[in-house]
Amino acid sequence: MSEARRQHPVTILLYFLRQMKHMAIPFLVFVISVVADGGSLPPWYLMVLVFLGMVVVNGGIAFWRWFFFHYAFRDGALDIKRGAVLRRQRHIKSERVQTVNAKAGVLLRLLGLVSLSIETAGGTEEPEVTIHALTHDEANVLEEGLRGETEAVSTEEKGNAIEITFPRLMLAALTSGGVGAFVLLIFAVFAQVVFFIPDGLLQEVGENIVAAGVMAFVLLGFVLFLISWFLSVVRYVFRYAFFRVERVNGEIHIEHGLLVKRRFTVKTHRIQALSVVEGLLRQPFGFATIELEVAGGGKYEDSFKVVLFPVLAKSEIQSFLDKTLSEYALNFTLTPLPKRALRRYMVRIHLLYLPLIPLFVFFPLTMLLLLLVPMTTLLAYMRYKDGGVAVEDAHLVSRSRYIARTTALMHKNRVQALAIQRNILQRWRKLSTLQSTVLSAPSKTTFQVKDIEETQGERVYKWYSRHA
Amino acid sequence: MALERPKERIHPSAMKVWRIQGGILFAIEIAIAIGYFFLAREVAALPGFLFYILLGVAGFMGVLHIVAIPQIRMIYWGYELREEEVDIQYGLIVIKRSLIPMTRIQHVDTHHGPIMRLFGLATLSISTAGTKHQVPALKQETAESLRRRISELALESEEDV
Repeated sequence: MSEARRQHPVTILLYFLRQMKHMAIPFLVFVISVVADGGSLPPWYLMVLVFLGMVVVNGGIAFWRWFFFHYAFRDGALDIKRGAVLRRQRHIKSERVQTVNAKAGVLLRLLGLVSLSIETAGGTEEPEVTIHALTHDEANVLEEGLRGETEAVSTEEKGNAIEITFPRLMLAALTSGGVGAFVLLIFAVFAQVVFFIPDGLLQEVGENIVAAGVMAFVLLGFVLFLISWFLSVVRYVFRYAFFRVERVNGEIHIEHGLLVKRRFTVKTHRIQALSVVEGLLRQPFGFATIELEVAGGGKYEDSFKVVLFPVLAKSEIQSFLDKTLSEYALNFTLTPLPKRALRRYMVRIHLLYLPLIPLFVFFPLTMLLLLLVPMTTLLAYMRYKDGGVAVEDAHLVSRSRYIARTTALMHKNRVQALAIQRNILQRWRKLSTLQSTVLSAPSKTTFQVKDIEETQGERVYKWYSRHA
Repeated sequence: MALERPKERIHPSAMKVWRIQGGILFAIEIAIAIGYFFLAREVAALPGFLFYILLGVAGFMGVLHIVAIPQIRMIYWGYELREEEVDIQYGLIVIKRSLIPMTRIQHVDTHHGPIMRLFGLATLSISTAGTKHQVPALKQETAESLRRRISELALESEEDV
């Protein structure tokens, strides 16, 4: 594929739809606000005219953008040329490519096409380059070229793909803990809708609810919560269905998605750390998510972390790692935190809100904060109990809990810098905080364990030191 | 097996630099208090006693910034350049000890502001791909030779990244 070519013509449609979508929202807001104010809309033929105008203009722009976008792969580099008036060119050498990310929505899948995002070092949220529609064959050629693969894919490493089973997918979806975002979303939508409901009706509904009493409120809240949960499960299933991970020739290939198919490829030497994340809902059942910190690259799904596998029983993790990332192993013995650290964990969490309690003199509702005490006490205890550090040959293991328990494994050569930090009270108590920084998207991640034994901190420091 | 303090100390004039910086801060605080004094004379609603409180706070902060803080900082500051790594310790209330391997260092540079220049001092800053570290108030020649030494060592030590 040495000659410059355009993207598949369906790109025009994709560009067009996206631009129309951007225009549709202000348009709808205009219509709704006019109707809500009781005003009359402009005559229908005028609206149709405006709409047709939008179609023509956006169609023209979309065609223009497609027509003047060329890409070519030559001599181990990808060349992108775009624009006619404002010409932009980009030259990306394959050595600089960090990750290649493929994605295909419903439309693209129907046509057997895929979109490719290419990330280079230097993390930004947006991908460096996206080719919006090309055939699978072209994508494969491009991907292999960009990964600098000249030798044929050897077959012996193939065939060890690990796929998610349906019950596991459901389990993962039910325990994903993504409810919170949807609760907020539903309340936001609710607030918007209330805005448009006529005042009389609203008052009537309000009076009915008040009449029905507190139970109605609780019930309403519960129903909203169930809807949120259901939506979060659906989203999770759509996103992670058919999850499949495979190691091929020093690369990790991840594929998933029900309607929108995603494929993510990363060279194993770009992986900086591996974390085993046990969420509050998953830990009791003995399940965890495996996540990766990948240097360079941009946002993947909603976060900068790459999910290596959505859900695994703890007993399966080791054999899973043997097949995918044998660079990391779970055979470490964690040194727990000393007993005197517990008091600091307790004090730290309660200092956040207990000092507010005396305000009840002015605001009696402040007393409600006392209801939090059992929960935060438990959380503080769990954080203390779960904190720990281990050094095992070339690996550092750092475990801590914010809400979920996260066990991070990092190779000595991947840690950018190590720090031990002690404040006055920690010095008095002979405790210290350990911080290890690794590269990740968009720039870095620091894993931190608070209040480890001072001598343990020094041991880790000496382990990290390359000085004999 | 307690960790011994990094061997090298920053230049003693660092204290003078911090004291001057503290003095500038003190002057600003006093100026605010005096500004308030005149404002309170014009605007009846502002209580006059607040001037004395502001003055007290400024005085207290002045003692902290000019006397105590530079002294404490000086006690903890230390750095050590080894062939394989740079070891830095600093702090006031929280003491931080960082270890930066040569292989991870991406660039080093030196810079100095007007007060530092007055004493012939400079700050050395060391960046890895993800972190940034500084050693303030070194003699300009020391900072420059450290910068050169670190870039040489960082170039020499090639490790799998």
